Amino acid sequence: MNHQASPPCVATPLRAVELPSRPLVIRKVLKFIKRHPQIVAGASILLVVALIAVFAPVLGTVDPRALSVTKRLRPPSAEFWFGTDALGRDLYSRVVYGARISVSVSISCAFLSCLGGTIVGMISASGRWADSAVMRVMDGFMSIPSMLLAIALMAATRGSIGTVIIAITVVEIPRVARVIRGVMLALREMPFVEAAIAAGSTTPKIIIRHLVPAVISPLTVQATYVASAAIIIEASLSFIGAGTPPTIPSWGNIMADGKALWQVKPQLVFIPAAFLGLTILGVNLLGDGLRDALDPRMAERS
Amino acid sequence: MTAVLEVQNLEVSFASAAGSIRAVRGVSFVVEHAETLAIVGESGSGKSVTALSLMRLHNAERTTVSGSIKFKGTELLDAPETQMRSVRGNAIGMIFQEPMSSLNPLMKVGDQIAEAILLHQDMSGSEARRRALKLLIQVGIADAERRMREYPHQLSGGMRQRVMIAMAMACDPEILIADEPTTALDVTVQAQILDLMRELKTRTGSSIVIITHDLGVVSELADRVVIMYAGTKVEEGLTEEIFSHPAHPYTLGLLTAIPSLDRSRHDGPLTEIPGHVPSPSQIRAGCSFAARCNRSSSICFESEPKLEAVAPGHLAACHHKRGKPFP
Repeated sequence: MNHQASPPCVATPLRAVELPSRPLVIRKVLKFIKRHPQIVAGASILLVVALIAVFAPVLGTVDPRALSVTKRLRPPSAEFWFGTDALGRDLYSRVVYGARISVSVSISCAFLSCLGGTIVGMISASGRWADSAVMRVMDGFMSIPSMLLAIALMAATRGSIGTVIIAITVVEIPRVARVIRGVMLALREMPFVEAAIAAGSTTPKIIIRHLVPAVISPLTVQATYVASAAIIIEASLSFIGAGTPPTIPSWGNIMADGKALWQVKPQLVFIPAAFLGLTILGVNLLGDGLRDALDPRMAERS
Repeated sequence: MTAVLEVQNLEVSFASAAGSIRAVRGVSFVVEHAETLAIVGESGSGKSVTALSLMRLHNAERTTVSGSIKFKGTELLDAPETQMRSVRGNAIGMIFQEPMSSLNPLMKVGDQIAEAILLHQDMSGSEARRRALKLLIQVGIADAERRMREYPHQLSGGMRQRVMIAMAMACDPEILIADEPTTALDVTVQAQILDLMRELKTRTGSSIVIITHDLGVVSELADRVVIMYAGTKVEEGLTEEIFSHPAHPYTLGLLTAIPSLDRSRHDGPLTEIPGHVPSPSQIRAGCSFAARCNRSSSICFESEPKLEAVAPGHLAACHHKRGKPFP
């Protein structure tokens, strides 16, 4: 295997003038960007949003809840980068802190829905009786518009970020469960599962060694879709006043606060909306990119 | 010779919306130590169902299996699931028809073989991997060390079937069941796989049950043949005996339907068996082959023929069977 040691790209007869090849890591990174531009674009946007959320206190912000009667509705300036709102609060600080809500809600909902959906989907795929019972309940959940269900759940509980997360998770679990159930049902009939049984394997071993790894890639893709749906639902709930409590700034309730004045001060709505849209774009780009990259049919053959 | 596997009066039926379907109807055979038995039949003759039931791989909810399957004197049909697991892969290995999809696409080839070893043998992961490597070399995979680390999609069909054979042989089973092991492969690879199976058999001394519809494979590999038709055994005997003196008209039909290279076009078209195998739901009284048979008479439609000896060790179920002096 000697020939494998030399870099494969310098198959040139000009042995003396070997190009100063860039370090392997950089070449790999460039290749990855070229192969998966969507993933790179989506992940970059999300990384920036996540960094904004994490470092919100040190990004030149002031207390996003501090009222100032004398400084109401200031236009963007060096002191107030995005201006101030009707109560004199600094819009820049509110938008930056708002990222925290969107990021934490989307990550928690994606994680919890995938966990719950996987459990439900696996139970459903494991037996015919369980399947019809569980999937009918899931169909019931899916037949209610997700916003309506979330509003109902919010109305039944006390408003807090925790309940927003739970409401969105309940709405998203059926979608994940359907995907997992479908994958499991298809896998169960695969000859390699039968071959594993014929080799004397046990059911738990087959699930861990053969079924779970196959579920990971559709689950990852599903998680990104849940994340983007969670951001939208959270913002919508907050916008109509049924979501994040108004004391905590989130992109949804910042827009709600600004909507009465949007004809005269459009930045009160447009700036948080732009952040919201960009974040969702990032999540969806990442999701589509991952879907393509993780599809084994598109896997690179060597 | 001692019988490793004894199948007595095996009946397999499936529950379906249209009622119970009898896919295997009272099949008996034995597998002797270190012999190769071929079970031959058209699609729908119940041969694969028979093979699967030997390992109890049927969906328990929808299938009823009755009769007796004894592995070295132990009844398998009512054995508890834990005991079955120690038989599967350990005492009886199985090779499937589809080398493309019988390997997990997400697992490296070496890991899959190592896992098959670890299921039955108490050894460390690295020992199992060493054994997996040895097995891959044994089944004739070139550059086995590299192939160990590859995924199934990086291997050709023939190589994948070799990997499947390595997995089935991983724990030195006493019986190897091969369900159409060469059907999905092209002809030259088929020949290589058959050579490999023959070689492994002489080396390990295990018995082979090969399920096939390919009489070429049978003549290459098998010591004895069981011919199945519509869920029943219609003929059984030593391979040479069956090929030279087929007693059942169905066997004769199968043999004359094989094209050969020395045929000229003056020989006329290749003979075929008219009609097709009746589906298990439409089997009537009498001989199930009667409607397609050129020897059939009224008795064939009335009573089902019993298996009777034509010669020692050569059985046939036909009212008009022919003995040895057949041309």
